[in-house]
Amino acid sequence: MSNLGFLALGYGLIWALIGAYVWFISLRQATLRRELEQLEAEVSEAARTRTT
Amino acid sequence: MDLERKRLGVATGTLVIITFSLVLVALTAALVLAPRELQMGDIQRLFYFHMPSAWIALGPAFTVVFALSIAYLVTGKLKYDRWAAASAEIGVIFTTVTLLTGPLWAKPVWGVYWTWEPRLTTTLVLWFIYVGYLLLRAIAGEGPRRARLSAVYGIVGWIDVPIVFLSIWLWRTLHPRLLTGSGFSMDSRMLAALMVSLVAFTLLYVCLLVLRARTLAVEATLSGLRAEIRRRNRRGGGS
Repeated sequence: MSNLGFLALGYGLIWALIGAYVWFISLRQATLRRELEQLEAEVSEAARTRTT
Repeated sequence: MDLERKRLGVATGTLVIITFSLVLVALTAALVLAPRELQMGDIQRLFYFHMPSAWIALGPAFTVVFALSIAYLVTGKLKYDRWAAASAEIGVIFTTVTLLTGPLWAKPVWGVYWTWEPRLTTTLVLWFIYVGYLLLRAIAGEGPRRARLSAVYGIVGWIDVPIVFLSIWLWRTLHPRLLTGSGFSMDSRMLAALMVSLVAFTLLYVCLLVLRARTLAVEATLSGLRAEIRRRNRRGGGS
């Protein structure tokens, strides 16, 4: 592999790794948002059944 | 509370925009503005992100784990444990970047991808130590017990950080000494590109740390709420 090939591979790996970590964080945040909404729905459902 | 949250959101957004812009400037400086190194050629341009990655891991990331581990053991506040965990994750990412870009630079220059010289070996040991830290957290469950174990591990594991840093002075190694008695031994444009990359990566670390620590805080709150609901349901069902 040429010098430029190694350079391209190196830069590709750096940003792929950092990008993958950012993607992991955003995926985790999306899951948490869904879980919070689900919890909110559960709590309001429980409150409704308690009042009726 | 809402206003405070909004302010926090704006501050994080601004930080992300500044970091992204600075990373673009750093890329331009490394690939376009910095001169071509005479002996190594273009492969030397890996240096502008290889060295800052090592700096993030050895400097802020694992040192923050060490400091916050002590803070947790002293105060018992779980928020320090969460921030330490976030910092360890980011440290592992940047150590991985260092360990991957190093061999890609070494092959055309030294003729081999890897050699068991002190700087490389101690860095690999450091990577294993903090992967171990993350594995420990993954298997130790939740709560104060995990936090206590992680804090002790985070303090003891940090011992390798100064060893990695000092390895080029303690032993004969292939790594050059950038910092000499008369300052940095490199071209001024190269030094400028390096400085921009160092600032960009430091901001990137802060950005990732804030985002990850906040995610871990929400995870902890959510898990606490679920436990509380389960407890109340059991109490309600039992009575």
